Amino acid sequence: MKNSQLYKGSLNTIIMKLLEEQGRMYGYEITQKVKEITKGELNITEGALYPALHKLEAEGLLDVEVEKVDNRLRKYYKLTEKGTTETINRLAELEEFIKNMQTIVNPKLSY
Amino acid sequence: MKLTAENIQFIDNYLKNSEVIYYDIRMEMLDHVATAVEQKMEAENLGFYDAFKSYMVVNKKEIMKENKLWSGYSKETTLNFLKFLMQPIMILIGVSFYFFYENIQITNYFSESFTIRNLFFVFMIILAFFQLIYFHLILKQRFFVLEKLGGLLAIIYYLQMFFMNQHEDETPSIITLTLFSYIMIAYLLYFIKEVYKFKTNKKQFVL
Repeated sequence: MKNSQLYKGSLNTIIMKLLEEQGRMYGYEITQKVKEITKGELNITEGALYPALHKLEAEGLLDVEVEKVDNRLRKYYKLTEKGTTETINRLAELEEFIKNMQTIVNPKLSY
Repeated sequence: MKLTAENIQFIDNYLKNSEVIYYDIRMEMLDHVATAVEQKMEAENLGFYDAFKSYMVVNKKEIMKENKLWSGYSKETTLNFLKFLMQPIMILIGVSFYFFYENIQITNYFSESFTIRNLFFVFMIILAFFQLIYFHLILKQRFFVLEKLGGLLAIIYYLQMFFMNQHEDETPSIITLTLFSYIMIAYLLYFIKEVYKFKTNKKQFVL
Protein backbone atom coordinates (compact mmCIF):
# COMPACT_ATOMS: atom_id res chain seq x y z
CA MET A 1 0.00 0.00 0.00
CA LYS A 2 1.32 3.44 -0.90
CA ASN A 3 2.44 5.50 2.13
CA SER A 4 1.50 2.50 4.21
CA GLN A 5 2.10 4.11 7.59
CA LEU A 6 -0.39 6.87 6.85
CA TYR A 7 -3.04 4.67 5.29
CA LYS A 8 -2.64 1.64 7.54
CA GLY A 9 -4.80 2.96 10.35
CA SER A 10 -7.63 3.76 7.95
CA LEU A 11 -7.71 0.49 6.03
CA ASN A 12 -10.63 -0.97 8.00
CA THR A 13 -12.64 2.22 7.60
CA ILE A 14 -11.95 2.27 3.85
CA ILE A 15 -13.20 -1.33 3.55
CA MET A 16 -16.30 -0.63 5.63
CA LYS A 17 -17.10 2.54 3.68
CA LEU A 18 -16.89 0.62 0.39
CA LEU A 19 -19.12 -2.14 1.70
CA GLU A 20 -21.61 0.43 2.93
CA GLU A 21 -21.81 1.84 -0.60
CA GLN A 22 -21.65 -1.38 -2.59
CA GLY A 23 -23.63 -3.75 -0.38
CA ARG A 24 -21.36 -6.76 -0.74
CA MET A 25 -17.93 -7.25 -2.31
CA TYR A 26 -15.22 -9.90 -2.64
CA GLY A 27 -11.54 -9.40 -1.91
CA TYR A 28 -10.20 -8.77 -5.41
CA GLU A 29 -13.10 -6.44 -6.15
CA ILE A 30 -12.21 -4.30 -3.12
CA THR A 31 -8.57 -3.91 -4.24
CA GLN A 32 -9.68 -2.91 -7.73
CA LYS A 33 -12.36 -0.51 -6.52
CA VAL A 34 -9.88 1.30 -4.26
CA LYS A 35 -7.39 1.51 -7.13
CA GLU A 36 -10.10 2.86 -9.43
CA ILE A 37 -11.42 5.49 -6.98
CA THR A 38 -7.94 6.75 -6.11
CA LYS A 39 -6.82 6.57 -9.78
CA GLY A 40 -4.11 4.06 -8.92
CA GLU A 41 -2.71 6.11 -6.03
CA LEU A 42 -3.74 3.65 -3.34
CA ASN A 43 -2.97 -0.01 -3.85
CA ILE A 44 -4.23 -2.35 -1.14
CA THR A 45 -2.09 -5.49 -1.10
CA GLU A 46 -3.46 -8.98 -0.50
CA GLY A 47 -1.26 -9.30 2.56
CA ALA A 48 -3.01 -6.31 4.15
CA LEU A 49 -6.55 -6.77 2.84
CA TYR A 50 -7.43 -10.33 3.84
CA PRO A 51 -6.20 -10.17 7.45
CA ALA A 52 -8.21 -6.92 7.80
CA LEU A 53 -11.34 -8.57 6.36
CA HIS A 54 -10.97 -11.63 8.60
CA LYS A 55 -10.44 -9.42 11.65
CA LEU A 56 -13.59 -7.42 10.90
CA GLU A 57 -15.46 -10.69 10.39
CA ALA A 58 -14.19 -12.05 13.73
CA GLU A 59 -15.32 -8.83 15.42
CA GLY A 60 -18.82 -9.41 14.09
CA LEU A 61 -18.73 -6.32 11.85
CA LEU A 62 -18.81 -8.29 8.60
CA ASP A 63 -20.87 -11.22 7.45
CA VAL A 64 -19.88 -13.68 4.76
CA GLU A 65 -21.70 -15.26 1.82
CA VAL A 66 -20.02 -17.89 -0.36
CA GLU A 67 -21.16 -18.51 -3.92
CA LYS A 68 -19.96 -20.70 -6.73
CA VAL A 69 -18.75 -18.45 -9.55
CA ASP A 70 -16.97 -19.67 -12.71
CA ASN A 71 -15.79 -23.06 -11.37
CA ARG A 72 -14.66 -21.72 -8.03
CA LEU A 73 -15.99 -20.46 -4.71
CA ARG A 74 -16.20 -16.75 -4.10
CA LYS A 75 -16.43 -15.25 -0.64
CA TYR A 76 -18.48 -12.05 -0.45
CA TYR A 77 -18.32 -9.72 2.51
CA LYS A 78 -21.12 -7.45 3.69
CA LEU A 79 -21.70 -5.29 6.75
CA THR A 80 -23.68 -6.67 9.66
CA GLU A 81 -26.07 -4.44 11.56
CA LYS A 82 -23.32 -3.82 14.12
CA GLY A 83 -20.93 -3.13 11.23
CA THR A 84 -23.24 -0.53 9.71
CA THR A 85 -23.43 1.39 12.99
CA GLU A 86 -19.68 1.05 13.48
CA THR A 87 -19.05 2.39 9.95
CA ILE A 88 -20.89 5.60 10.80
CA ASN A 89 -18.80 6.00 13.97
CA ARG A 90 -15.51 5.27 12.24
CA LEU A 91 -16.25 7.60 9.34
CA ALA A 92 -17.08 10.40 11.77
CA GLU A 93 -13.83 9.65 13.61
CA LEU A 94 -11.87 9.67 10.34
CA GLU A 95 -13.42 12.96 9.24
CA GLU A 96 -12.50 14.49 12.59
CA PHE A 97 -8.97 13.19 12.15
CA ILE A 98 -8.68 14.67 8.65
CA LYS A 99 -10.01 18.01 9.93
CA ASN A 100 -7.47 18.06 12.74
CA MET A 101 -4.64 17.08 10.41
CA GLN A 102 -5.65 19.88 8.05
CA THR A 103 -5.55 22.36 10.92
CA ILE A 104 -2.05 21.22 11.79
CA VAL A 105 -0.62 20.84 8.28
CA ASN A 106 -2.33 23.81 6.64
CA PRO A 107 -3.76 26.17 9.27
CA LYS A 108 -4.74 28.87 6.76
CA LEU A 109 -6.99 26.57 4.73
CA SER A 110 -8.85 25.31 7.73
CA TYR A 111 -10.35 28.70 8.54
CA MET B 1 -12.00 -14.52 -20.36
CA LYS B 2 -13.16 -17.17 -17.88
CA LEU B 3 -10.86 -19.88 -16.58
CA THR B 4 -11.69 -23.54 -17.14
CA ALA B 5 -12.09 -26.13 -14.37
CA GLU B 6 -8.59 -27.43 -15.30
CA ASN B 7 -7.09 -23.94 -14.92
CA ILE B 8 -8.72 -23.61 -11.50
CA GLN B 9 -7.39 -27.03 -10.51
CA PHE B 10 -3.92 -25.96 -11.67
CA ILE B 11 -3.99 -22.87 -9.43
CA ASP B 12 -5.33 -24.91 -6.52
CA ASN B 13 -2.51 -27.45 -6.89
CA TYR B 14 0.04 -24.65 -7.15
CA LEU B 15 -1.23 -23.11 -3.89
CA LYS B 16 -1.29 -26.53 -2.20
CA ASN B 17 2.31 -27.11 -3.26
CA SER B 18 3.16 -23.65 -1.91
CA GLU B 19 1.97 -24.89 1.51
CA VAL B 20 -1.33 -23.08 1.67
CA ILE B 21 -2.69 -25.96 3.73
CA TYR B 22 -5.98 -24.58 5.01
CA TYR B 23 -8.89 -25.13 2.65
CA ASP B 24 -10.82 -22.01 3.69
CA ILE B 25 -7.77 -19.75 3.21
CA ARG B 26 -6.83 -21.42 -0.08
CA MET B 27 -10.38 -21.09 -1.42
CA GLU B 28 -10.27 -17.30 -1.04
CA MET B 29 -6.72 -17.01 -2.33
CA LEU B 30 -7.62 -19.13 -5.34
CA ASP B 31 -10.49 -16.84 -6.29
CA HIS B 32 -8.23 -13.81 -5.91
CA VAL B 33 -5.50 -15.25 -8.15
CA ALA B 34 -8.01 -16.63 -10.67
CA THR B 35 -9.80 -13.28 -11.03
CA ALA B 36 -6.50 -11.43 -11.41
CA VAL B 37 -5.29 -13.92 -14.02
CA GLU B 38 -8.56 -13.66 -15.96
CA GLN B 39 -8.22 -9.88 -16.08
CA LYS B 40 -4.58 -10.14 -17.13
CA MET B 41 -5.45 -12.57 -19.93
CA GLU B 42 -8.05 -10.14 -21.22
CA ALA B 43 -6.07 -6.93 -20.77
CA GLU B 44 -2.80 -8.23 -22.21
CA ASN B 45 -4.21 -10.84 -24.57
CA LEU B 46 -2.25 -13.66 -22.94
CA GLY B 47 -2.85 -17.40 -22.58
CA PHE B 48 -3.56 -18.87 -19.13
CA TYR B 49 -0.05 -20.11 -18.32
CA ASP B 50 1.67 -16.89 -19.43
CA ALA B 51 -0.79 -14.72 -17.52
CA PHE B 52 -0.51 -16.93 -14.43
CA LYS B 53 3.30 -16.96 -14.52
CA SER B 54 3.49 -13.22 -15.07
CA TYR B 55 1.04 -12.53 -12.21
CA MET B 56 2.75 -14.84 -9.74
CA VAL B 57 6.23 -13.48 -10.47
CA VAL B 58 5.09 -10.07 -9.24
CA ASN B 59 2.53 -11.02 -6.57
CA LYS B 60 3.56 -14.37 -5.09
CA LYS B 61 5.46 -12.84 -2.18
CA GLU B 62 2.51 -10.68 -1.14
CA ILE B 63 -0.02 -13.49 -1.52
CA MET B 64 2.10 -15.89 0.52
CA LYS B 65 2.43 -13.27 3.23
CA GLU B 66 -1.27 -13.80 3.83
CA ASN B 67 -0.65 -17.52 4.31
CA LYS B 68 2.11 -16.89 6.87
CA LEU B 69 -0.23 -14.69 8.88
CA TRP B 70 -2.62 -17.58 9.24
CA SER B 71 -0.20 -20.11 10.65
CA GLY B 72 -0.51 -20.75 14.35
CA TYR B 73 -1.67 -18.14 16.83
CA SER B 74 -4.76 -16.00 16.21
CA LYS B 75 -5.21 -12.87 18.32
CA GLU B 76 -8.91 -12.58 17.43
CA THR B 77 -9.58 -16.13 18.66
CA THR B 78 -7.93 -15.35 21.98
CA LEU B 79 -9.94 -12.14 22.34
CA ASN B 80 -13.19 -13.90 21.42
CA PHE B 81 -12.41 -16.62 23.95
CA LEU B 82 -11.79 -14.00 26.63
CA LYS B 83 -15.16 -12.44 25.81
CA PHE B 84 -16.72 -15.91 26.05
CA LEU B 85 -15.15 -16.32 29.50
CA MET B 86 -16.87 -13.13 30.64
CA GLN B 87 -20.39 -14.28 29.78
CA PRO B 88 -22.64 -14.45 32.88
CA ILE B 89 -23.22 -18.20 32.53
CA MET B 90 -19.48 -18.82 32.38
CA ILE B 91 -18.85 -16.60 35.41
CA LEU B 92 -21.51 -18.64 37.23
CA ILE B 93 -19.68 -21.85 36.33
CA GLY B 94 -16.45 -20.30 37.63
CA VAL B 95 -18.05 -19.28 40.92
CA SER B 96 -19.57 -22.77 41.27
CA PHE B 97 -16.09 -24.27 40.88
CA TYR B 98 -14.83 -22.01 43.64
CA PHE B 99 -17.51 -23.14 46.08
CA PHE B 100 -16.95 -26.73 45.04
CA TYR B 101 -13.21 -26.62 45.81
CA GLU B 102 -13.87 -24.57 48.95
CA ASN B 103 -16.19 -27.17 50.41
CA ILE B 104 -14.74 -30.42 49.13
CA GLN B 105 -11.36 -31.70 50.21
CA ILE B 106 -10.40 -32.61 46.68
CA THR B 107 -7.10 -34.34 47.59
CA ASN B 108 -9.12 -37.12 49.30
CA TYR B 109 -10.26 -38.27 45.89
CA PHE B 110 -6.75 -38.58 44.50
CA SER B 111 -3.72 -40.63 45.39
CA GLU B 112 0.00 -39.93 45.26
CA SER B 113 0.29 -41.82 42.01
CA PHE B 114 -2.58 -39.89 40.41
CA THR B 115 -2.91 -36.32 41.65
CA ILE B 116 -5.30 -33.58 40.59
CA ARG B 117 -2.44 -32.16 38.49
CA ASN B 118 -2.42 -35.43 36.57
CA LEU B 119 -6.17 -35.10 36.01
CA PHE B 120 -5.74 -31.66 34.43
CA PHE B 121 -2.93 -32.99 32.27
CA VAL B 122 -4.99 -35.99 31.12
CA PHE B 123 -7.94 -33.69 30.33
CA MET B 124 -5.70 -31.49 28.15
CA ILE B 125 -4.22 -34.49 26.36
CA ILE B 126 -7.67 -35.95 25.64
CA LEU B 127 -8.84 -32.58 24.26
CA ALA B 128 -5.78 -32.23 22.05
CA PHE B 129 -6.04 -35.83 20.85
CA PHE B 130 -9.74 -35.46 20.05
CA GLN B 131 -9.02 -32.29 18.05
CA LEU B 132 -6.30 -34.03 16.06
CA ILE B 133 -8.61 -36.92 15.18
CA TYR B 134 -11.46 -34.56 14.31
CA PHE B 135 -9.33 -32.27 12.13
CA HIS B 136 -7.35 -34.93 10.30
CA LEU B 137 -9.53 -38.04 10.17
CA ILE B 138 -13.13 -36.82 10.28
CA LEU B 139 -12.99 -33.52 8.38
CA LYS B 140 -10.26 -34.68 5.98
CA GLN B 141 -9.77 -31.08 4.80
CA ARG B 142 -7.92 -28.66 7.08
CA PHE B 143 -9.83 -25.50 8.00
CA PHE B 144 -8.11 -22.55 9.63
CA VAL B 145 -11.39 -21.39 11.13
CA LEU B 146 -11.25 -24.48 13.40
CA GLU B 147 -7.55 -25.22 13.74
CA LYS B 148 -6.83 -21.77 15.13
CA LEU B 149 -8.49 -23.11 18.29
CA GLY B 150 -5.48 -25.43 18.67
CA GLY B 151 -3.25 -22.38 19.28
CA LEU B 152 -5.54 -21.36 22.12
CA LEU B 153 -5.36 -24.82 23.63
CA ALA B 154 -1.56 -24.65 23.49
CA ILE B 155 -1.58 -21.36 25.44
CA ILE B 156 -3.88 -22.87 28.09
CA TYR B 157 -1.64 -25.93 28.28
CA TYR B 158 1.50 -23.88 28.98
CA LEU B 159 -0.30 -21.66 31.51
CA GLN B 160 -1.63 -24.74 33.25
CA MET B 161 1.83 -26.36 33.31
CA PHE B 162 3.28 -23.21 34.81
CA PHE B 163 0.67 -22.41 37.48
CA MET B 164 -0.33 -25.93 38.49
CA ASN B 165 3.23 -27.14 38.94
CA GLN B 166 4.73 -24.16 40.74
CA HIS B 167 5.05 -25.97 44.09
CA GLU B 168 5.63 -29.64 43.37
CA ASP B 169 5.01 -30.82 46.93
CA GLU B 170 1.81 -28.86 47.57
CA THR B 171 -1.69 -29.19 46.20
CA PRO B 172 -2.48 -26.18 43.99
CA SER B 173 -4.48 -23.46 45.75
CA ILE B 174 -8.27 -23.22 45.50
CA ILE B 175 -7.91 -20.14 43.29
CA THR B 176 -5.57 -21.97 40.88
CA LEU B 177 -7.83 -25.02 40.76
CA THR B 178 -10.91 -22.86 40.22
CA LEU B 179 -9.24 -20.80 37.51
CA PHE B 180 -8.03 -23.74 35.46
CA SER B 181 -11.19 -25.84 35.91
CA TYR B 182 -13.11 -22.79 34.70
CA ILE B 183 -10.80 -22.13 31.74
CA MET B 184 -10.76 -25.77 30.64
CA ILE B 185 -14.52 -26.24 30.82
CA ALA B 186 -14.93 -22.89 29.05
CA TYR B 187 -12.51 -24.04 26.33
CA LEU B 188 -14.45 -27.27 25.87
CA LEU B 189 -17.74 -25.36 25.55
CA TYR B 190 -16.13 -22.78 23.25
CA PHE B 191 -14.75 -25.56 21.04
CA ILE B 192 -18.19 -27.22 20.84
CA LYS B 193 -19.76 -23.84 20.00
CA GLU B 194 -17.23 -23.17 17.21
CA VAL B 195 -17.62 -26.69 15.75
CA TYR B 196 -21.39 -26.25 15.79
CA LYS B 197 -21.05 -22.88 14.03
CA PHE B 198 -18.68 -24.43 11.50
CA LYS B 199 -21.01 -27.35 10.79
CA THR B 200 -23.95 -24.96 10.32
CA ASN B 201 -21.94 -22.91 7.81
CA LYS B 202 -20.03 -25.82 6.29
CA LYS B 203 -21.88 -25.66 3.00
CA GLN B 204 -20.09 -22.33 2.54
CA PHE B 205 -16.77 -24.11 2.28
CA VAL B 206 -17.64 -27.05 0.07
CA LEU B 207 -17.91 -26.95 -3.70
